[in-house]
Amino acid sequence: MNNDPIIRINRVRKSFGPVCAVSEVTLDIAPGEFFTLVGPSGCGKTTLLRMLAGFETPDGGSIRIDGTSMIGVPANKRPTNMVFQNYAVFPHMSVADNIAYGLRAARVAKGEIIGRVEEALAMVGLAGYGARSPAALSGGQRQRVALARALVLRPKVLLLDEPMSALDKKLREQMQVELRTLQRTVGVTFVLVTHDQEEALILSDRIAVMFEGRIAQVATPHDLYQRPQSREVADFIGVMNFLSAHATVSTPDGMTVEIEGLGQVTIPRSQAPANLGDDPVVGIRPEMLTILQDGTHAAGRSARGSLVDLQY
Amino acid sequence: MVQAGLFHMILRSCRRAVAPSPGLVLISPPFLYALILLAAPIVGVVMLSFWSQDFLEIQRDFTFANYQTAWTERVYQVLMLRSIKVALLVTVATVLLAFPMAYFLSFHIPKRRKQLWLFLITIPFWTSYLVRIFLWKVILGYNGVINGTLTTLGIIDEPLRFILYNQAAVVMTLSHAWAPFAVLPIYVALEKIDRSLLEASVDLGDGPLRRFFRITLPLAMPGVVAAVLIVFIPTVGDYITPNLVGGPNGLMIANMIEVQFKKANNDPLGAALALSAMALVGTMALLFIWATRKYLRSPS
Ligand SMILES: Nc1ncnc2c1ncn2[C@@H]1O[C@H](COP(=O)(O)OP(=O)(O)OP(=O)(O)O)[C@@H](O)[C@H]1O
Ligand SMILES: [Mg+2]
Repeated sequence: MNNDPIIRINRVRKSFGPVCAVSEVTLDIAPGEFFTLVGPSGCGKTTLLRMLAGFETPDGGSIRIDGTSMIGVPANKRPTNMVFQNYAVFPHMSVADNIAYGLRAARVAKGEIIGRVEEALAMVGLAGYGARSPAALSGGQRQRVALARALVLRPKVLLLDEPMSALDKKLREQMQVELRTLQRTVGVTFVLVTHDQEEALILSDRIAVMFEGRIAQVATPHDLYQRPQSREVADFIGVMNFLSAHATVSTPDGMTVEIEGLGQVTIPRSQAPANLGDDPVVGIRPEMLTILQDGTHAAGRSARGSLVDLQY
Repeated sequence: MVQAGLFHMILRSCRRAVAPSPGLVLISPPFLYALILLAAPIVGVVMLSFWSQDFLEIQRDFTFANYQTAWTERVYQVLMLRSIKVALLVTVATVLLAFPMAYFLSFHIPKRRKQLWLFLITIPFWTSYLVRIFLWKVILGYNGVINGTLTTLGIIDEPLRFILYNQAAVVMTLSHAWAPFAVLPIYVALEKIDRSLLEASVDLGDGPLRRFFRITLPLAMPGVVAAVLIVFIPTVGDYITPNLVGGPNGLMIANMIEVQFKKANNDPLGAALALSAMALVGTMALLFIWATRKYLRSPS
């Protein structure tokens, strides 16, 4: 596998009338990556994904997929396939006909279609369901049909718009595991859109956090959680307590700050970006706090307090 | 269709009718209405068709003679076949005209203007059916709009005679009269199509034309079937339009039924002709529904 990005998005813009849905997004996605776009509702994730699929035309900027410019290339000629939020399974066709749809569009030979449909059904765990009508399937099974229907075409990139949002919690967790396994097996680049940060952290190789049409940070789940680059990102991903502070001493190892009401705390360099100024905000993940007995505290890494309430 | 729906409702109500169901009470006024105004006359006509006319009196002896005449005599066969042929032509023309209109309305009119457009489509109903037929006479007539225009432009020397008082004129007039009835069910069916299905089709590699035949049309079929039935069934029995614009070769079976009941004073034969036409149309409608049944299953 080479390391040229499979998707290159360069300064892409898109407005709907006065609403700026996507502004100046630049992004590279590597082949075989499980890439997730996450952000609050209305931040432009779907719009960006639809521009990759060819359902929206960017107002400016360029999109290259697998080295080819996608400007002016219609959706049916792109090396991408999409799993829609409501799955968009064709109600008037059997499961097998749904999966064969794209193969027929590409005029693949009849004999080959049968084999590939069987293979795709087995891949998503629906072997033997070919003759069924979609009306007789559950939500999870419909999603598998949508996945099989897209993957049977062996796309370069699979686009998924909130594929889990219509499933209940239990099934959602199960499908998340299956989706991740499937992606590893087929090795196709997945671009997933979700507003569920937990889902993004579980599934992705890398995550882009979007706010109001812009990308705030692109990082691995670990880095995003441990080293968010802005307060917005820290607030959106997981739970974070924010405390205002004064910088006191800055050394090559770390930075000592005076937190109001808590005293002095030393933060390691790796957790503290340079040029923070004199009044930084300190964020603490709740699970990083440990409650200790009075008097057992370590200097510079703890603070006194009293326990007011306790919930499980 | 209405009768079938009613029948279903009654059937369902009867199954739970151990306790007086509110559904049954609710439908009883329309049910009685339908019974008196629909079922009773039909029963009367059925009885009439098995009797015979003896000058001014009706002979109440059971006989198949009327049906034999209706199905074997050349003039009735010709009229029956012509009625069906004209009705088929009208249906095809109407649906072919209505589909693009419904498609345009559903896919190319912004949501907030759709109400206005639907309203505009109903404008032809503001004038009476008869006025609309007479308008076609004015358009197609010997000194009509078409002939006048063509003569003035020097394209023809003498007014065309073949455009009025024939079957083509009947087909044209009726397709125009029925168009809104066909547009509406097709429009409703098109509106119900989930737009993401159309995107999915393109995403999977179809161009616009193949998408139309593989997704849009099959999913619009319930509307098309409804439009076909709405147009076909009453057209077979239409007698006003053939009378006014059909000329001698444009007359249809309903004109003959009218003649039997009035001028010829043979009510039983008229009744037998009417019931034969009804049976034929009913059979054709059922066959059509059966042939298109795979598109009519409502997907959940
Ligand atoms: N077809 C459209 N016409 C007009 N405005 C649109 C259209 N599509 C999206 N928008 C607007 O663009 C912005 C971004 O929309 P988008 O659907 O990309 O958001 P999203 O991040 O996918 O949100 P969600 O999580 O709610 O799906 C929103 O303000 C939305 O109202
Ligand atoms: Mg969205």
